Amino acid sequence: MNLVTIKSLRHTSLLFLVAVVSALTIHAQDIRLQLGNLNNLEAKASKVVDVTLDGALLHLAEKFLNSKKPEEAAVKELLAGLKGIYVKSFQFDKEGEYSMADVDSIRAQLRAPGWSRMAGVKSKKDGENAEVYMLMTGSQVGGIAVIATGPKELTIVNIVGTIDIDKLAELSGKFGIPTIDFKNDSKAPKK
Amino acid sequence: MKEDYLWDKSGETDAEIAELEQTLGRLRYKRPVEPQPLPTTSRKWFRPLFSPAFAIAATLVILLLAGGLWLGLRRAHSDGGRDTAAVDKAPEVSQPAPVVSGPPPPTGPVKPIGDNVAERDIKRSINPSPLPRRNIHRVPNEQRQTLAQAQAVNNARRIRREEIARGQEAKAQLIKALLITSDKLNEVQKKIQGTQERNPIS
Repeated sequence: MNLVTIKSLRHTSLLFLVAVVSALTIHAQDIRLQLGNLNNLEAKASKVVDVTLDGALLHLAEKFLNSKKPEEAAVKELLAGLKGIYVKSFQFDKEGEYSMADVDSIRAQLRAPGWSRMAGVKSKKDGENAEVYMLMTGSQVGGIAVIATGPKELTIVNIVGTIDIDKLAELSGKFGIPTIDFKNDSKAPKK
Repeated sequence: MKEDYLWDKSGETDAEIAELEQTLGRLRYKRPVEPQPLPTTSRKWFRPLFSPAFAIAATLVILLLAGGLWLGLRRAHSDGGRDTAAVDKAPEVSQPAPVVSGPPPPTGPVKPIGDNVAERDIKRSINPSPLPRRNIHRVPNEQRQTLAQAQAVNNARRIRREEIARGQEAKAQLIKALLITSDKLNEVQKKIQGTQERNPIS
């Protein structure tokens, strides 16, 4: 009788574990934005930055960061709770190469529960807009999404995992690289 | 009838005498040819050839040659063993394995090893003294093991190099992604601050 109870308890705990893992996986999938619909813009763009770093690659990159260098040590600290970084950035020679439908498909994903729009900036003068979305898990930031649009530029950033935004903002201009400015071609990072 | 022809074969030929001569001529005495004397020089050379002293000397020379050949083969046999040991100790690592079952490769320093094997086989067929069989089988096995180890080391190095390259690439991508994110966040922050400065009440 005792043996049967132990077996049923074991099965119950296993089922519970599977349910928790499944829920976490679904949650992680929700945090990660689907950016596949932007792939058709690659042919039109004059410059493309496409970064997909998750799981093993992220840990591999972490191994190659030198803790003795202050900038790399700062990045290493940031990576502690990260699960994935996904960036797609397009720069076009002409205006109107991408449609608002492309951006709306991303915005639609950010209407999912958990995501909240933290900041949004619209500039009528130069037509550049930026939106910052965050996914809060308790008191911590569980994910970030940035949508930056301009007449000749579209950038989507999606970070999955806990991250310190202040530390992230401090990185700009470090690594001996000037602050990235997509408005100026000469400073734009090349893939 | 003149009888000159009967006496000195002069004058008119007598047919009857001529017929008799022809008939009896077959039974004429023929003197045998005297044997030609051998030249003196050949005689001088030929004479000592069959002399007992020469036969003894020839026997001694043959015995010496046979003894020398036997000693030489024996020494070569012992050298062959040492060669095998040397091959055991220092096999060619960077070259392809000289597989015993297959033909040796046409080029490269593997050839001497193959030659050693062939030479050793010939010596073994001449000399009945058995070679240590352990060595014969150990050569390819140890070479195979050493080559396998070398290949494993090379593979590990290649994998390590690939991993390093992948890691460096991932690091570069990571920094690039973080810089873009950081830049965009700063841009938003600056614009918000600028708006707040322009409209301090709101």
